[in-house]
Amino acid sequence: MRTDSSPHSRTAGARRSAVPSAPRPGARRTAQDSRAWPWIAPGIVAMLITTILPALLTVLVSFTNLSIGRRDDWVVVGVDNYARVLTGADAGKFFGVLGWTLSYALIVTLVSVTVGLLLAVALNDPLVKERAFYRSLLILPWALPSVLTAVVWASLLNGSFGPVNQLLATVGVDAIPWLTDPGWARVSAILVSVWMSFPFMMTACLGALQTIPQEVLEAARIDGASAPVVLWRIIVPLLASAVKPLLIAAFAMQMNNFGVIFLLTGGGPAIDATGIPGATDILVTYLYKIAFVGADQNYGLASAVSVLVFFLVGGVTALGAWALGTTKQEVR
Amino acid sequence: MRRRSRSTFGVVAMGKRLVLIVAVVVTLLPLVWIVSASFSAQASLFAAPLFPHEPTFAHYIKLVEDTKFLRWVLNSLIVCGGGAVLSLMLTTSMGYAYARLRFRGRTLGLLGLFLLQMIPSSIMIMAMYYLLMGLGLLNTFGGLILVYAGMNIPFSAWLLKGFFDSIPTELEEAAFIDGATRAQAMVRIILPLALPMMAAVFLFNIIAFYNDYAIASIVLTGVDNYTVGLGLRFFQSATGADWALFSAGAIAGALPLVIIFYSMQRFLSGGLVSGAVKG
Repeated sequence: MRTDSSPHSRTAGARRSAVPSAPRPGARRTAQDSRAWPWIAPGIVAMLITTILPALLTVLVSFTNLSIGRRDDWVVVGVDNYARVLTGADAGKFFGVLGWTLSYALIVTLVSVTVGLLLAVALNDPLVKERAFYRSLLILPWALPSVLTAVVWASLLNGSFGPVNQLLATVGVDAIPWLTDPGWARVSAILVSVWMSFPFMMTACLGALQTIPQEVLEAARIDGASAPVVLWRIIVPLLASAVKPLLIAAFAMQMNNFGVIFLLTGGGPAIDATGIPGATDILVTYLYKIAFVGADQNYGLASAVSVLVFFLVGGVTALGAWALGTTKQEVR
Repeated sequence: MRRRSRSTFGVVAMGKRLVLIVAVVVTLLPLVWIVSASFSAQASLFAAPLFPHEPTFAHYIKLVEDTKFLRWVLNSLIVCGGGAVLSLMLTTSMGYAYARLRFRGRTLGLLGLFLLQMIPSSIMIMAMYYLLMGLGLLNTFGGLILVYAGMNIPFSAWLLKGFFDSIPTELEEAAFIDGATRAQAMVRIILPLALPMMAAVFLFNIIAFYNDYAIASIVLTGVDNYTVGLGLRFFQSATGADWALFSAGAIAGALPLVIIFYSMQRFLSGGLVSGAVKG
């Protein structure tokens, strides 16, 4: 990471205005343009095919009634799909899912950053000589593919003969309906997601912590600051600028945590006759079900939900970034 | 008293140790369960004791001989590795251009990347499905590699641009004076310095692709084309929830990613922090 260790850095003192990288506003724009294109064009083409065109297509489809039964005779229905989701027949379902998605993402992000930070503080103490050992074990849930661990957790949490309930039975706790009761299923989704995501936060916090000199922490202790005070008054503010963008990214990631919800609970258990959405369905699994699982496989409706999800995720992310950016200025 | 509390076996260190040990136990318990189940003689899942009396490799042998498991692992490695390599090539050159070159549309392009980053790829799976169908890439590894390579470009390009921004331009300028072209200066001087960040981006991407279920499930059909994630889910239901066999599959299927992860993890925290500060 350190550039000064490079063998070239000794020659780096020379600076000429003739070198091609110097930004000259206005001058030789076209020459610069043509030079930049080969660097960025391949990536833009790839994004065009995999992100930009599908996004535009999704917007177009959201104004139609395209579904599995109407592949050939679909018509443009204007904003009907949006109306159905926002104010019409499906509004209750949509806002219910939205509320759960936001609380799920927020709780998982906050709990995993708290757990991650506390573990990072413990791992950052040079007195714990064997800390590298703990770290390499604690990071394991991150290294394991969540497509597999989510299915493993589904088996472990099985209500009637899952090992978790068997363990609880040995200490006299009655069987908990982890995945079959709406409330408990939500708790399970949160717990499993935290188990999967705290190592990321721990690693990030540890990386940032290591940039704080041990002397600073030592000095605070000598001045008589207690451990919670050191944590809250020194470590948290110093870590904030590095960790905040990751919080935003983690929150947005959790809002779209398709794999875990889909493989752990399948979005269930059902809370009404249709089963769409189930108690733990987040927006992305809800729209997947509208498009691929339900009886009518309504692509138009699912696309409308997709567009709304984009604005919601984008809006909430931008809002969060703005709010955290403001607090950052207050801290400094 | 204060001095004694701050030694290797003092109160503070022992307290932190206790927290860490509890965390390790809670983290590893589920894994101990499935490891033991995968070696246990009973296929009849949950009742198996925590430490099997007669450990057996039977389930692993069955996995290799009677299922298409190895094929699925190979498929996963092809699509995830291919996607991560292609993505790295595209985003390194992009990130470098955005960091070093000044051109028309640069600011707009950066803003565009920031916006595209917020589109979760799982909300576009239907559109991707139709687009791949139109391109004749449905149910091909090429199609999935293309989707993987494209879907994380904004995130990776931002991280890499941030890192290139932190490398002094003087390094290349010295090379230009010696007569190097920009491409030569980039490949010979900047790339070696950027390798740790490139490794971090590669690792982030390969984890994301290996963990993908939604996109793979609509692009790939047919048992021979499954990735590990698709295969094991299918296979749990198809074999009537053979817990031991599934456990063996989950462990063996996780192994490739675990190996890649642990051999590259030293790049992670640096990548996270420097990327976060710049990006």
